[in-house]
Amino acid sequence: MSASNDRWRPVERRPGLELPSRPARVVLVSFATVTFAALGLLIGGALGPKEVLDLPRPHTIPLVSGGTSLRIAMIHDVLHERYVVHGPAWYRERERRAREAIAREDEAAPTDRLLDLYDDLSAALDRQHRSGEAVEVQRRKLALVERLHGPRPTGPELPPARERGDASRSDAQRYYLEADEQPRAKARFEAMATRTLSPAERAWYRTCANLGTMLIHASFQDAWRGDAAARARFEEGLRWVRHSIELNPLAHFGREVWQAEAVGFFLAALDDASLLTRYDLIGQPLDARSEEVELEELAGSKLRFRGPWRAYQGHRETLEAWAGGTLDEAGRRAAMSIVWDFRSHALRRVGVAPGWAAATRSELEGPAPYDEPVLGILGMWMLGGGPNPHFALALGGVCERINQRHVAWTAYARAIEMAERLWPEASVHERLVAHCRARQTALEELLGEPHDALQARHEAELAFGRRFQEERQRFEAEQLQAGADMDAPDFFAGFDRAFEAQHGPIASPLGDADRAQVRGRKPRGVDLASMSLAAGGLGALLALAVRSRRRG
Amino acid sequence: MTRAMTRLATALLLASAFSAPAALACINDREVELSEHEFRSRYGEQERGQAREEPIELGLAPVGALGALAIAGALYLAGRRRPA
Repeated sequence: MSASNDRWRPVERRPGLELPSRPARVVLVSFATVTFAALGLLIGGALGPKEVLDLPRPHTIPLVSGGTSLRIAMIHDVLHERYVVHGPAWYRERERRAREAIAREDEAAPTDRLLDLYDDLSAALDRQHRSGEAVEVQRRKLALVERLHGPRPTGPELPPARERGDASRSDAQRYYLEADEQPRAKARFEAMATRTLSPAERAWYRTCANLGTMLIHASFQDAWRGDAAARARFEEGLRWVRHSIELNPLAHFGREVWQAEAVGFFLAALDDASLLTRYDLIGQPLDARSEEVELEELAGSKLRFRGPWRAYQGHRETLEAWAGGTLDEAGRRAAMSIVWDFRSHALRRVGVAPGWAAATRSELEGPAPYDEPVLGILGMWMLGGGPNPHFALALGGVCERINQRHVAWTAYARAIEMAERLWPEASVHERLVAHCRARQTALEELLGEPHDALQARHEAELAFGRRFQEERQRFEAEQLQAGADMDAPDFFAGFDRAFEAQHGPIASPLGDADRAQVRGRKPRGVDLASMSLAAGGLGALLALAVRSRRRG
Repeated sequence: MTRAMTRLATALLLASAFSAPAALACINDREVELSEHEFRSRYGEQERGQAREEPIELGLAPVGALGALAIAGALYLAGRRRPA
């Protein structure tokens, strides 16, 4: 008899060993399957590969509920002039219309509408580089604000600022390691997260911000040439900007805060130009020795802030509602501490080095989450005086620190292109250009891309941005000449549609720079089910094997 | 001397070109809110329109499929009528 026939030979039952019935066999295999599957679930839960989450990076959660949050593409686009900016014809027309409207108002009985018209007029003058006239308009407005709304309000009560310590190394390390402990900044954030400005606060805030800015614009050149009166006006401008921050510290994504810091930096640089070769505009050290302390801070922060993504997952709905601006006042009140803690722990802090803060008499308590100075600089660049090498230098420093190397390279390229405006002193100018070139070389090595290729791409992108701005300004000038209404919502619709159809959107695609793939805590559902099924299958086969052995 | 002269010349050139280190503006007029909104909407709209589709990753699914086959096979063998 062959072996194959043997296999199907009826089994001789051994005495005392009853083979299970068919239902009993099925029950046995099923039991083993379920038991092993449950074991597989347990093991899979503990040891299985974890799910990979596609989460937004922390800078997408803004400091202000519903406010502007950073996208890395914004930095790239501003550096390449890919944003809307009006031309001189626009502001001439705005000036004309504001003057006409003011003439129709009664200054003896001022209204908020009249105050807004004064703002329009002074802004139009300032943008036509007539800052002295703009200051006069704002000074006239100051009297009207006082008449309409009474004396300047003081803003929310705040606790004293954090102590920075002296210049010793141990104090500097503590300063960095405890950078998230900023009681005054936190109190300011909490005060502003839950309140809206009264009409008086709004009017005073706008007056302080505009008057301060226009004073600064009007006086800097003469202040730099050593004119004491101009310097006094420059300092007065800074005081007005600081008053505006007291009233509305988070306005325009915190732009005034960084404007005041930048002005303080330039004031300090007028006395000691070497400051410009040691720090950038937001207080990031330019020299290697200071960066060593920063690196220690970074290492420390990695140890301490291990779980920002866990925090994100834990409070995802709250954080997303905050970013979307969908929370009511009670919701914002409840979310405040979650948002503050998340931003404090998840965002790399930059700038406000101790030596810089002392020299510039900074009002900041310590390094800031990187999105804050970046948004401030982008706002000043786009809505203020336009491209500036110091802004580019600071953006380069931040982007390097957050590993956005292409953008950092571009920022240094822009700083070099605008180098003649870095500082009039040759030695300072030469050192800053050398610093930018050295950083570019280091970045080229990290990126593995040759200088010429990066430069060619950068120049092509910059040419594209400039062409957009020039063509749009030409269009607006033609439209205004033809008598179009500048306040009509569809004033630019024809241009924007045609440009986009021909060249695509002016804003760069977001790409993946604002998202991160993060390993979660839970295994993926499909992996857990698979491990359970595999273990169940193993159990079933084992049960079958045991039965076969018994039979054999 | 030559180096000093070069530096002086550069300094003079730069001083003449230099306007202001940073024309810093936080000007509030009727356009500021609109400009901010316009700027951020260019990125916000993109983000809303950019659906994030989960990439299809099999992971351990093939192992799970084998396990399911093993369970089915084992149950079939266990429940099969044995030849007499």
